[in-house]
Amino acid sequence: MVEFIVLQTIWIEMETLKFKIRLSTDYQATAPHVVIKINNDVKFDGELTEKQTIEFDHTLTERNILIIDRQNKPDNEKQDLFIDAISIDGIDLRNLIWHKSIFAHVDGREVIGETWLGLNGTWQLKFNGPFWKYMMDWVNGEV
Amino acid sequence: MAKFNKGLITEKIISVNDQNLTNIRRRWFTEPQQTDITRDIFIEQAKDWFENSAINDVTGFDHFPVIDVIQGCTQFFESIILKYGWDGFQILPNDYAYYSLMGKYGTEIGELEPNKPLLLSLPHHSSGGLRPEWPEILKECEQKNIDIHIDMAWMVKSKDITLDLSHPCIKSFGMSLSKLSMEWNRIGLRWSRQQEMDSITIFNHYYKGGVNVGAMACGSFIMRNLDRDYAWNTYSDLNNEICQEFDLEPTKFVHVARSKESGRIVGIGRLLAESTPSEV
Repeated sequence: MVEFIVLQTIWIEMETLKFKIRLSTDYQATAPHVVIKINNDVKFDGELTEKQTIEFDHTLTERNILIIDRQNKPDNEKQDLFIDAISIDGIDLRNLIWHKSIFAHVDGREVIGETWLGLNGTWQLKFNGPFWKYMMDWVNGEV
Repeated sequence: MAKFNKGLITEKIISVNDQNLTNIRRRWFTEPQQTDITRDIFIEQAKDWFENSAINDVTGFDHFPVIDVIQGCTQFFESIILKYGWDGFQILPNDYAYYSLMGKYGTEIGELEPNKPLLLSLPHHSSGGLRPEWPEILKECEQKNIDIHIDMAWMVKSKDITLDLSHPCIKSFGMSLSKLSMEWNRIGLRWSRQQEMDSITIFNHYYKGGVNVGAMACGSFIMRNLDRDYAWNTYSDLNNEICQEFDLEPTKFVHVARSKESGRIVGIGRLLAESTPSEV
């Protein structure tokens, strides 16, 4: 009888994935100021004057927060920021965003699944690493 | 009188399918089998089997800690194709016929598109081993930020292959039992630097409980009954004699030789199988 050693599940600490965030905007005179961070690592910081795709690689940890902070909306002007699409590792997160993202308005209200950011505030999406496992756990209703 | 039947040399490359290999199949279908082979058990056994060839020098496996079960190398590259789309990857000219049958054509070395993943077969059938341009391919991929995914289906029939897999552009590779005339099972492994979401990951990690245990039990049985280097260990002398008799140049593949006259590769798998070592 051949004996086998059972392979243990391996936690891969260095999971580096490609992020792609597509934003667009509509404003009268003043463009929104946008800061994109993951786990407090700033990936974009500037005015968004037109449709733009921000791409970066990031090494995930076990707990992760993606933040899109949008500011600089004058009270007397119309100014919108739209999250058109976000993908991680080539996977479009539309469904996850609708269920898990939170947009905290400057006035304290929180809206789940918002992608039309018409007020100043901070949008965030929390997720775990490894990302592939988090997606499976989420689809199974386990997170 | 000729020792070997020249009529058994083929233009098409044909696997060696001898009595021993046929017997393994017969035994699997007719004898009671061990069926409690879990995925973890299978992976440990298969990893050891595929990685430990005594006649090849392949290094760098330790850079690929993520190992998944695949149904043949076709599933290995189809999973990549599904992820990146039909226009989202590139191949080299004269690669596996699958691509050209599906209308995908190769990009010349030196003209590879930056940032677009490259799928390639290595060892490469018509090169008779590694592609001779392999160092240039690596250099170009490094300069153009191209991820490489290697279909290593032919490794199980190879010898004297020296390959360092640690190059950072190499992101994954796959091997299977298919080319040892085990196309009736095709099970194998994919090695990756990190787990990514794709159809093989879903196949291995999303579905719970006993996925493909039949194929894994069968693969385990094959590997318990077949030496990793069976092809060359069995047919090395015969390969040498056939090449001498017909003025063929040996390749790294036991069942493939190259005509010195035309420079083309020819199949000697059928001739090897028909001329069993004991008959020589």
